Amino acid sequence: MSRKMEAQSSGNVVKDEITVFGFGKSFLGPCLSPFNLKLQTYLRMTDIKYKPWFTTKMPSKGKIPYIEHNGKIVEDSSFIIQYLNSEYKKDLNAHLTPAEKAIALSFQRLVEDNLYWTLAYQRWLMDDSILDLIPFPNRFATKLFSWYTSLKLRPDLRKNMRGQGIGRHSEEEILKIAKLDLGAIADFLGEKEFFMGSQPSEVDAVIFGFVGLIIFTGSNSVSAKDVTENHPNLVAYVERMKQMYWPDWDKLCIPEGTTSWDEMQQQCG
Amino acid sequence: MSNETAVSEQTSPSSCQTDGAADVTVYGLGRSLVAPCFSPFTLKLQTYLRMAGIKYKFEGSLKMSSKGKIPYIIHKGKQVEDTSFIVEYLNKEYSVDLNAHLSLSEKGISVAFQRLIEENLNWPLTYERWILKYNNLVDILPFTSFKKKMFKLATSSPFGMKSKVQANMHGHGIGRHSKEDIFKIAEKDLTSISNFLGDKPFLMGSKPSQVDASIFGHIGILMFAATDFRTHRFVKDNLPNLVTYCERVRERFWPDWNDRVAENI
Repeated sequence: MSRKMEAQSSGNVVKDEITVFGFGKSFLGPCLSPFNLKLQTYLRMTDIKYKPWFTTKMPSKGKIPYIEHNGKIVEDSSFIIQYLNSEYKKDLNAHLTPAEKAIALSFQRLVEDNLYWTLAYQRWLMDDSILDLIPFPNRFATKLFSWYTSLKLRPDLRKNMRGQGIGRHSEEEILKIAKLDLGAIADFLGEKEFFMGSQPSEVDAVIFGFVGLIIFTGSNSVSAKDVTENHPNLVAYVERMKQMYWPDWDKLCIPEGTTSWDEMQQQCG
Repeated sequence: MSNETAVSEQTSPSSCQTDGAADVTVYGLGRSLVAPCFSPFTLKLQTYLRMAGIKYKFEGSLKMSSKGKIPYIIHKGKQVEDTSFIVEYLNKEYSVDLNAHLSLSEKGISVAFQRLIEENLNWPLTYERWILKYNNLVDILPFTSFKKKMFKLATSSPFGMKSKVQANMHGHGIGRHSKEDIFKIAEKDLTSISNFLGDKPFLMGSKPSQVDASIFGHIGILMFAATDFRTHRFVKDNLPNLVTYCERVRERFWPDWNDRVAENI
């Protein structure tokens, strides 16, 4: 990676300002990672001001996104949400009963510990279409990233998937698992306005982060087509969430044809 | 409470398991001194078979399936792996549907709880079994003291089970957390199951359904075969409805539990 793509410091630490470090925007969306989209959606749902920042530097747990808040680094989107709930006295789940909170957690686990892997497989291991999403400054950078993907990113993902267990399945089986999980999400959602009922709750950030990302930035994937063809209620749901919490979605995408690194960098702040 | 179950009248849960010939043979890691099988996924599978009234034979084996997983089954000469795919396959072969009485929304919830148990809670429990309480593991295995020594040597070697578990946990992501955070994750999951279960006899209501096999597979092992675990103490001290749930499921589908554990050598 060129020096310009190395870690960005957030500059002077402004009191109470939250910086969300992630892998940056794409041509089709404000972030590349579902965990990042989940976190930013939560911040918008709770009206907590934040600044997204591009980085390639990994924190201690090796997970993206992470935040910087008053000089403190917090990692892992779920721990970040817990931390911010405490700091800002927010509770999107206040209206839920204990049994409803349990259902919400179970779907969060379904999405983040199972569906996630099937979507990552489709995004990174089925074809090269992900490369079309990312705004590279020039052809050389595209080539470099393509090598990085083949030599490091894909083998690492395969190893992680193997460790998690799902990587031992055939492609057909992985896609079957994705279909089952998305069906479960759609069946539970039904005709409700938000995932748990008529009010939004924390799990909406999770569902939108993962399902929204694949619908809006991976529409050619098997899962996106499955949702579009078989679960119109889920499509309507992600459109609603996008309108409500991301009315500026299109403005945040990198304009098609942008190749200059400086132009791209300006759009990261 | 309704007595309707999916078990056929001819096949009571305990008589599903046979030591003679059966169309379905379950291959798993074998029995322990405190449970009819060592692994939670094998207990899940056998519980499902008993709930569905399907006759089966259980063989202890160290041989992994082609995907490197255990348990697996052989049915009429065909190997089927991964408990979720096995259940789907047997549902078709035997026209079983333990979820027939559930609404669409309830079916969605039961998939989600299955994922919570099998893709998340499974890891802190595996961590406690193979890493934290590793030295106590041989105490529940029906081995001679020589075999116990060999087992310890094999599993703690660089390519042994212990380092495989660590690598798998890292791959999943949970391995990057501190020990205390891993316990917090387990406690959150267990509390959620308890909160959703409430006063209901089975997870989804008054009748057992497929997800009860998943819940019992993991939490049954935790409550009956891992009494020295910190997570066991957490459930015992804080989640009494989960304790009675496990006892209820065991009584209903494993009345022969004590006859099925291994004998001490």
